[in-house]
Amino acid sequence: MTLIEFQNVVLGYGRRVVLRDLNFAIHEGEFFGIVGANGSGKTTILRALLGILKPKRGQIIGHVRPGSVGSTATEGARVDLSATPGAIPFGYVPQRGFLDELYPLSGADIVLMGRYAALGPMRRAETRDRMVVEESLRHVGAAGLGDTLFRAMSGGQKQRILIARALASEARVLVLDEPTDGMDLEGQKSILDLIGQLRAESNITVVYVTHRLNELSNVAQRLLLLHDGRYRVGPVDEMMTGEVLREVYGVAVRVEQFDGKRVVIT
Amino acid sequence: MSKLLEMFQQDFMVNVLCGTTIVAALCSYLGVFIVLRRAVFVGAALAQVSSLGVGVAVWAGASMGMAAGHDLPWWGHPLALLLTLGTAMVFAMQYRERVLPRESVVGVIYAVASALAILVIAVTAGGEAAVMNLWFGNVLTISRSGVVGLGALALLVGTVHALFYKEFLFASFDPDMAMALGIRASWWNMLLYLTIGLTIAFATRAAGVLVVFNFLVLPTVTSLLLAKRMRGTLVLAVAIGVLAGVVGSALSYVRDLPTGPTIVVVNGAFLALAWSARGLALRR
Repeated sequence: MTLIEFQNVVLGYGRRVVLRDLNFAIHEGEFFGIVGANGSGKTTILRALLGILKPKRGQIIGHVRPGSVGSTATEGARVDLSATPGAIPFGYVPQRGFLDELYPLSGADIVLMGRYAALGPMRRAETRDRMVVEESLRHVGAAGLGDTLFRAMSGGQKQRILIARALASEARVLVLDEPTDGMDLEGQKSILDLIGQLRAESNITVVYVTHRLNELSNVAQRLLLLHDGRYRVGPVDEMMTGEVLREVYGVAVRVEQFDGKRVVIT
Repeated sequence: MSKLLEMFQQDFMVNVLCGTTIVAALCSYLGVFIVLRRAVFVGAALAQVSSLGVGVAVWAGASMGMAAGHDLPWWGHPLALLLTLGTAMVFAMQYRERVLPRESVVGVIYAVASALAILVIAVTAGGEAAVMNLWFGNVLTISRSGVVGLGALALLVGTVHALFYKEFLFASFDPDMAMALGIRASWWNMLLYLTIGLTIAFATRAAGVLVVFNFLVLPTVTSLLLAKRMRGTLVLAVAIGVLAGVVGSALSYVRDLPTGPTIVVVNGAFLALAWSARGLALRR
């Protein structure tokens, strides 16, 4: 089932157009990867998806399920996401470096922020919210980090806290921006394993943004490849061919299978 | 000691202590948000814009035959308030730092507002005293009605922050995630800056640019060195600010020193103590 649709969307800042004529859909429960180099526009797509950046033209349509957290839409409603922020609650996991470590916030403080939308203004967190926080921390294997200061955590621990915050918001879509950037192989694997585990348990939709094609070539179901304002989108089997990658990136590459896994060789 | 007891028998000193306590508590609390948002000079710029508004009123009042630095036309303080709130709205706006860093806009407004205020006062007959009051403040002139006004401001700002603390924190720390969840971070930013602008406009009128800027920065910096959690930082910043205000006011009375600078120096001494204590704790 289609969850989000980009319909003839043009994105940019001021007079500058970054991406034009974006037409693609994200389906409920799928692992959707957005891959592109720095400056290719992947963060721009992500900001538009989250409702932070309004499209210059076109629409981003959300198919809203009744009873969603933060949603007032009726069953089967199609809503313009840029006009109705929060109609589909996104669990956004930003790049760790974007969050200011100056704030003396603990892991639990940050995960509790995921409850703020459900709580609404003028209401304080209740016992139930604190239970959701504890459960979310346990879920991501960070039960012992509730009282630890965010700035004192390792990269992988921070990422787990931010994923726990997204889970605490009861979001239907987990949006991860370069979640393994700057991590060693062990850290990368543990985060990807955690995302796989969450998908298996709750059928949550995952939108994963990265600049490393190999990171998603074996875990994503569909890929959106971005390069120099061009894009291709489709199932991973169709995207991960030498022909498509050559067309998008303009360089000769091969896609080989090793031990049942795809590897891109330049 | 006798002079200290004598201080509490003076009506004007009771007003000074009450007024300073309210200004210290409000500015120190809001200062935590300002410092954590790395917008320290927002406080200085807003205070200067507020003083520019009063400066224009001093000039206009003198042109109408009023005594410079003493009497103001009725629109003097409302003008300062409007200018401060308008500037606060400009600072609250979210924009991409593609060409100019956010801090440069703050710097431009600070420099231009300061220069304009000086020029306006310079062309005002007998305006030098007004300059001293605007910049260094004269908490000794806080009246009973001034204390009541500051109390009403504290009630208003305190209520808004008690109701919306979590929204202000979320919009400050991670506005993107807040917006992804449907929380309009830009609106909460606006409201936060409105409370900051409102407080600075009233506090500058009571205590002057230097004292207000001091309360917006120093107690928070001291508190961040000592506290380990957000709520602890807020409580400690307010406690340090109030203590510095009271100790500074009392010291200035006993030693016959200018009150504003004495308060700032006491705050600086607290910061030095906290720095030393932290250094010792880290060595152990």
